[in-house]
Amino acid sequence: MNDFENSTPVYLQIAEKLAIQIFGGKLAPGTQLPSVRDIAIAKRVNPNTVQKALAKLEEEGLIVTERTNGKFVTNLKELIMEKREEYAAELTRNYEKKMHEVGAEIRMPKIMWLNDGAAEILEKVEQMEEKNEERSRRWFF
Amino acid sequence: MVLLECRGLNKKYGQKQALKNVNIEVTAGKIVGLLGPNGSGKTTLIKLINNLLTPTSGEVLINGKQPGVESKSMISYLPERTYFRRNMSVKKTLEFFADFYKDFDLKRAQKLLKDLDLDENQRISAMSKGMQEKVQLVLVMSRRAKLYILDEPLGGVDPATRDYILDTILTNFNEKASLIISTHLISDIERILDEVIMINKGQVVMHEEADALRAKYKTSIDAIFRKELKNAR
Repeated sequence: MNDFENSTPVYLQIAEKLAIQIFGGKLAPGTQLPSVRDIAIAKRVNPNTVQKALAKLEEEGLIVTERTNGKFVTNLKELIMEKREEYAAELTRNYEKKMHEVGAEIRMPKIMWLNDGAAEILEKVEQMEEKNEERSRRWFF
Repeated sequence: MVLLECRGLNKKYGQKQALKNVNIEVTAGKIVGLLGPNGSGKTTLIKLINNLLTPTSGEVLINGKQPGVESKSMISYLPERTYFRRNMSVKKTLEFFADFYKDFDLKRAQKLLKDLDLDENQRISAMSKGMQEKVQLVLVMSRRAKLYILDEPLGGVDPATRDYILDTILTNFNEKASLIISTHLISDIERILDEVIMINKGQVVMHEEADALRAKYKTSIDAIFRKELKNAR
């Protein structure tokens, strides 16, 4: 379980791991989070570090504190989606950067990993590309 | 709340200045790494805090008071060398500790010994160096102290035990206490640290939050430490 990198702040890494679980639905909206102490023991880090990670998620609105009952995943599904999109966009940027570094072409995903709207757009883009190809082929011959 | 304060602390051994104008504050609820190369003054500082040495000038305050009997009852200290009676069994040593320290939690000690596969009936003299170190750490961590000071606790133990020890520190740690851990095996412990105090040639060269350092230098504490030492040379 000791899968932290020492080169970036550990609290950011914990916040990211929890955010991914919220985005992916492993931690569903409204779920109560384990106590700081339990998370600290499970992740094998300092409780203060976990506290800081939770404070960051709370600032972003992904989790909320109920005064006496502890911390919960927010019920605001739109907010979760919005934050997920931001995260996905960043992943994409990183991917593009890496691909650029190795000099490879960006690949369009075959599986529809985005919501339906994006899938439609993607389909249209592909159709257009096909048409373009056809056109250039015609022009070539 | 400030648990430990060092003000203008100097220590000379004859002509040699072992510590030079050390000013540090450690608040409650923190795990602090005291990092420095061999001979940098880590153990001298720890001994001053434990009232085993007297400062040449400056002062140490534990919970606002000068070191003494009271501070010794608040500090659980793991020295760099073992100090057990070699012919005592582990069990006798436990009894000795329970008798000596009011805050000693015998049940916790027994559980930790069992987790580490240590036999209570074995004599200290029949144990390997690593096993003795484990026993000693169990005893130190089984006190419900305000301040834990561990001087190189990981030196002689295998990596699996190292992990277990760090987990033990984390699970038994409470937010009213603080823990100072001196080591040069930084990469092993840096995940549990709140704060880092780097000391070189008797002077504090850095005292910052571990995550703040990582954010600032975009690298590990271990790498920062190595670079800092290289530059100092």
